[in-house]
Amino acid sequence: MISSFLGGFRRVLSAPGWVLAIAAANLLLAWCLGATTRAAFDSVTGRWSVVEGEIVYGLMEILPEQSGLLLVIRQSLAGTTVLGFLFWTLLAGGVLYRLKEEAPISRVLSRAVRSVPTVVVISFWHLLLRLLLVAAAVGIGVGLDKLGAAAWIAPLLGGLIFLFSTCALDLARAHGVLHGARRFHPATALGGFAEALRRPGVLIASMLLGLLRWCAVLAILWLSIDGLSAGHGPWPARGLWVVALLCGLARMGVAVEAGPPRRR
Amino acid sequence: MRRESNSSPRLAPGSLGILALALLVQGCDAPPPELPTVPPPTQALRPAGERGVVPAESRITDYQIEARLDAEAHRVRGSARVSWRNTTQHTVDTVPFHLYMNGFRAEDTAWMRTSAGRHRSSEQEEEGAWGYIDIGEVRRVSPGPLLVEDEAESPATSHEVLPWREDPDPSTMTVTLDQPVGPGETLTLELDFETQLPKVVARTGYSDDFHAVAQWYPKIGVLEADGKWQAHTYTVNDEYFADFGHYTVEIDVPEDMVVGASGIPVSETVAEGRKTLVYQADMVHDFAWMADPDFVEHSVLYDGVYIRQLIQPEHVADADLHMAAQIAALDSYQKRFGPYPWSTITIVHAPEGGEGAGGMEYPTLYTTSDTVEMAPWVRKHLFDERVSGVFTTVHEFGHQYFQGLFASREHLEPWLDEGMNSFSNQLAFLDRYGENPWAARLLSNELTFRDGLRATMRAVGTLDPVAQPASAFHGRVGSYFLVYSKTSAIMMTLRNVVGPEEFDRALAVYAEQARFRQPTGKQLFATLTMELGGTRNLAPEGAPPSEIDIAEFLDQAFHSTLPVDFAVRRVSNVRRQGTAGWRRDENGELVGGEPPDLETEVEDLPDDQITGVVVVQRPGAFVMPVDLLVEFEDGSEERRVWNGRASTQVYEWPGRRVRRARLDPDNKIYLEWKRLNNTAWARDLDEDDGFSRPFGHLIEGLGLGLLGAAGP
Repeated sequence: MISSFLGGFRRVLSAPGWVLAIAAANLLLAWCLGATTRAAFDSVTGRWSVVEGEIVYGLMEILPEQSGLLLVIRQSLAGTTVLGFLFWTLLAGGVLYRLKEEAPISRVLSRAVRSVPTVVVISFWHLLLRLLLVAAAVGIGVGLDKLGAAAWIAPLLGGLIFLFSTCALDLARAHGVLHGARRFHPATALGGFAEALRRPGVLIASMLLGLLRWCAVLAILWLSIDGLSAGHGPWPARGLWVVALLCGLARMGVAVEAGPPRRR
Repeated sequence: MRRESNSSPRLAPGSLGILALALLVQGCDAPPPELPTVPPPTQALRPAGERGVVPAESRITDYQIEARLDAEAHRVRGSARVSWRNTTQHTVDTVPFHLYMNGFRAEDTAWMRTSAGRHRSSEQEEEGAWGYIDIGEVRRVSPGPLLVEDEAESPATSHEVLPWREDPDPSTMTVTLDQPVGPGETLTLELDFETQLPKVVARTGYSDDFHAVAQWYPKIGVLEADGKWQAHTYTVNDEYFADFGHYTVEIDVPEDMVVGASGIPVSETVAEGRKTLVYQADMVHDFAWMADPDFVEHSVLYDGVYIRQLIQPEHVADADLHMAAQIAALDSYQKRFGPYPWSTITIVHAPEGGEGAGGMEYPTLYTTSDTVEMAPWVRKHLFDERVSGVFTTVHEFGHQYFQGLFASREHLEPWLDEGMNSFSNQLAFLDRYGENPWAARLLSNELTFRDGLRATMRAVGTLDPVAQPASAFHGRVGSYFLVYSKTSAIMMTLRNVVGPEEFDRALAVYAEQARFRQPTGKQLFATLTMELGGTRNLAPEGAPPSEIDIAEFLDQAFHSTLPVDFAVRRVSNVRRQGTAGWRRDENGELVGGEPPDLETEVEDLPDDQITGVVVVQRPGAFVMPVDLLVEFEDGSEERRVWNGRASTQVYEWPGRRVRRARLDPDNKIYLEWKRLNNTAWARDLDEDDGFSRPFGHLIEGLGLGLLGAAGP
């Protein structure tokens, strides 16, 4: 498990330029989002201002009155989410390739583009399988609830299933993109789950990195919401995002490190 | 052949899983938890030295009621003996009674028409849809005892059956007397009744084994000093109005029922699977009781008041929270509005399904609501709120004063009990948590009760005047909530403007006058106006006077829908007019003619050539004074009080550069929900608006979170 964990990080650190470029692109996108919102607010407030301690009420006053602001915020956030998914769908194959071996940018990008159909189809089959797992988890959760189980069990179970599924997706994508597995066949997505179960070291390393990544993401949200009144500024969130990115890439690196699927 | 072994049996992995699951699963049949209790008091009122003034002349109507609950049919059969004293100068020959439960009798009653079968979040169901009270015989007992407790000295000698009829709406009926009742005389009537409880929608009814028995007996109207009876038709927003008196109520219920009631228990007998409880409530104007076999009892004695809580087993963890809120409220109300006169208060928690009975007040008993369930770590670190459960507890206890003790006409002036009570709740929270306490908190972001009031001003503040009868608020307008919130905002505003100490003193005078009386809004206005001095100069010493007319303020606030809004229209620094140009010398000749210095930019001019200008405006039609705080470039500040009478006002400071102007900088005016236009920077300054930047950071952070969620 430790070798997988460290191996994942080693592969990420061997591509510092890529990490920086990805981080910069995402941070820039998020900054644009914030700047757009700020400009929209500025245009509404003019010379008027709220005073310290009244920011929450200020929002309560202004947002219902300025439906355009809410629209800007909604669309910006939705647009960012879509762009995020597109970004990683387009880039996932290339990133896996780059984590496997050093290569010039042109080859990585070319591999990224060629891998898009593979990534999309594997992700689609994986999504269906994940939904089945979620349905099973919900069923178990409801059952446990009816039995009077402690309230934290169902979310814990859901979290574990989520992290396990993410490991399976990484492995399936690595198999499809790097190791010649059948790209459009659901068996590749299913194989990701099977491989994750067969390789406990890989699974645990991947889940741990996934957990760290999600902790960083939640901390970003925490700091951002808290910062509205506490005034942390944007840098702690930006720093945490880089941490989340490193953990996410290292988790993909673990899948690359695992190599081709093992035959039973 | 199976090998026998003496060793402990090995558990299969599956068995371990089952064992682990079993450990995680809590037992469903655990016995109900026990909470501490103390014995109840023996007198319904607190000792004379502790209860404050209890005027004997306020005791007008006594009741002796016998009631038997059929818990299967959710029906109460009983009889009521009502002794009423005519304290007016008028003779009456008819007597109206409220039959509140008939409001639930059919779709065409006034209550059902005005509610459409809904109340708050509860809705009428097919099962147990209807409730009613069916009156049997009405008898006059003569010669009537002065009051029921004197019956031994004045035994009844005859029972004359009297005619009665339901009024067009069955929520009231009229009894025709065989002989009139003159000034100072007493009438004693006996009424047999059967009350069918509906499945609880609004305040009263049943839900499974839980029974909220309220508005359940025939209740005599109030004869006003002008000789006219007050007995209003019951509609959805109308509440109650009655005379004070003593109630002795015998309640017969299944033995397993735990009962909470107005007043104190004075006896209990058990026989044949049933128990009979006798309750005594003194100097109250209503009596309600609740019964549920699942109630868990919790009681303490605090400051001489027996506080009893009847809570559902699944919510016992919240018992201390509600008790603490009750105690904090008791402290606050006694300090502000005089001693709590009764020896007891009972808090009832309605069960799931019976929430419609929650959040309702009766003398010395109220129903509360449950707090939103959250893990303690969530409350401590993530999100917390003070508006569910605990707020209901404070609010309903507040009604022990605002209507329980100050028995205003709820149907005619709902603001005088609901609104003034909501305002007093704000004071109780202020006493408990300090100035401007938060109502909800997400991480560092606090939404205060003041914010909440202002938000409701925006939503409903100008839809209807506050001071109108409950029935004048049309359900489809959705404005009734302003009775609560706008009254609070008005009173908080007035309190802040005239000064908390002065206002609290004036309100304490009202409380003293209103105790065990039936006060009106006019009386409150008169007391406040007199105690606060009619008109008050709010300007600091040496400044031009700026007065608030208390009566004018109250009139606008309660009888109009005028919005309160002030705005800083302009903050700027302009070139000060100097002496350049033509002027006559001592010989009468025009001399000079030098051009004005228009070349130098305003920001480069020396301060003595500058005039700081602030223009304030009153976009809202509501006239009242407002504070203005002006900040100057040199770091100094200056305060003014604008009387707000004109629609605009210009302030100038020759030789000083203004930086920022703030109207109502101390947040006194809760009535004003448009706050953004209260603060403005000088035109030549490029200052931050205070929230574009942090909100931009928030959205950037949310964007990063979404990007993080999207991948890798």
